[in-house]
Amino acid sequence: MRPECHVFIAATLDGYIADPKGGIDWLTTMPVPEGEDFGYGAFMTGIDAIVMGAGTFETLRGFPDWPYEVPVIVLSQSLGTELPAPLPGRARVSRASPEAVMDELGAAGIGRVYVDGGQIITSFLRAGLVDRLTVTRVPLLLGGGRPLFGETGRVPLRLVETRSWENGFVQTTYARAQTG
Amino acid sequence: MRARGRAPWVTAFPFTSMQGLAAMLASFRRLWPSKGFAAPLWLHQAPSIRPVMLPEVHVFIAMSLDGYIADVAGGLDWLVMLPAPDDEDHGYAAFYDRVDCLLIGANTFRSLLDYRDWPYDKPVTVLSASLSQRDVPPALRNRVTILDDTPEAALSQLAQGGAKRVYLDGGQLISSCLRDGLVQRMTLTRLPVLLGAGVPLFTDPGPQYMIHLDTRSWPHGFVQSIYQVIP
Repeated sequence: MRPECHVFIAATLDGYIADPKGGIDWLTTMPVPEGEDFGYGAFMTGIDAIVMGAGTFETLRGFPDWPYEVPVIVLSQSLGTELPAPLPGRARVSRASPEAVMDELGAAGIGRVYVDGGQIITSFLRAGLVDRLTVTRVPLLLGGGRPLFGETGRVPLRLVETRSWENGFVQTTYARAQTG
Repeated sequence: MRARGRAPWVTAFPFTSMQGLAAMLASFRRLWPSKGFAAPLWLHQAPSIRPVMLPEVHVFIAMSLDGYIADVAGGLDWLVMLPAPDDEDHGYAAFYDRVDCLLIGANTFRSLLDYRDWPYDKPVTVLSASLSQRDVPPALRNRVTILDDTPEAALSQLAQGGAKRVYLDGGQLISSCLRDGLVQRMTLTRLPVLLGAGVPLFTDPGPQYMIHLDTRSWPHGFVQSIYQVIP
């Protein structure tokens, strides 16, 4: 039984999740209402494991602290499988396909997976694996960078809810479209 | 996404107040020093007053969730096939009613000719270096004009002709007008579908902050957000 697959990500109006160097200064310097986390904390409470791509992994390694307590799988055909400390206990590199990694995680008892990174999200969408997609749109155009959505193919979605905050962030959640 | 780095100037976010707007402009210029643009005093005093030589430019456009306004063939089948009530126009009629004329790009013009009956009763200017007035069907020549000039020159001409508000359409044209600081307001309707490829709305519009004015959604899944462009 495959786990549920959730996406929770911020993007600019023109669809970028990072600048061309993988940086997110444009996001972390946006004014935010005092104490607001845009549902991120509640989202992470339900997550048992994270699957991300190499690009996201490289961005995170630039942060002073590794932010996750749950197991992290980095899907990459090119990253070396030996990771430097303190990562070996927290993250591992896998060469598996999205379907195979979801089967593995399901077999290990994982119930809900957070998928992060534009290329990984795109490949999971193309494979029809995404159950829920929450995009927080930040009111700016970056002009270039790492896109959220690549060649997903046509994917119909069903709107679950949308809300906005006084700093202009607009968060929309979609689920799989019902078929038939 | 993580919510870090609270900017020190935020308490509430009074984008409707003049001081709030001026404070935001000052802070955004610190973030984008390359813009080097000193907002004139009139902007801080009364943002509704604009230089008389240019009209207000508004965008009203639908796109897929991944930001495409047409499929790779320039078609809109994916849009019209999405279920939506027949009597819901998502605010389009109210928007169209308030514009004086349209300024569109060449690709949009060609799509309109191919796709359906000409939908506009207001004057349309088509910006193109390659088309000429001969490319306009005779029945439309009294209200569609081909113009080979810059967007700013075209807008200036329209203003001189009495236009106060122009409806701007076309991905490339919208992006270049954004780059040139010519757009004031954008109403973006996102549809609940990913296309994976197509004609993008934004092709290098340049870095640009916006003020979010409103968002609303419909049961059939369309989400519409209105933004004011910060000059």
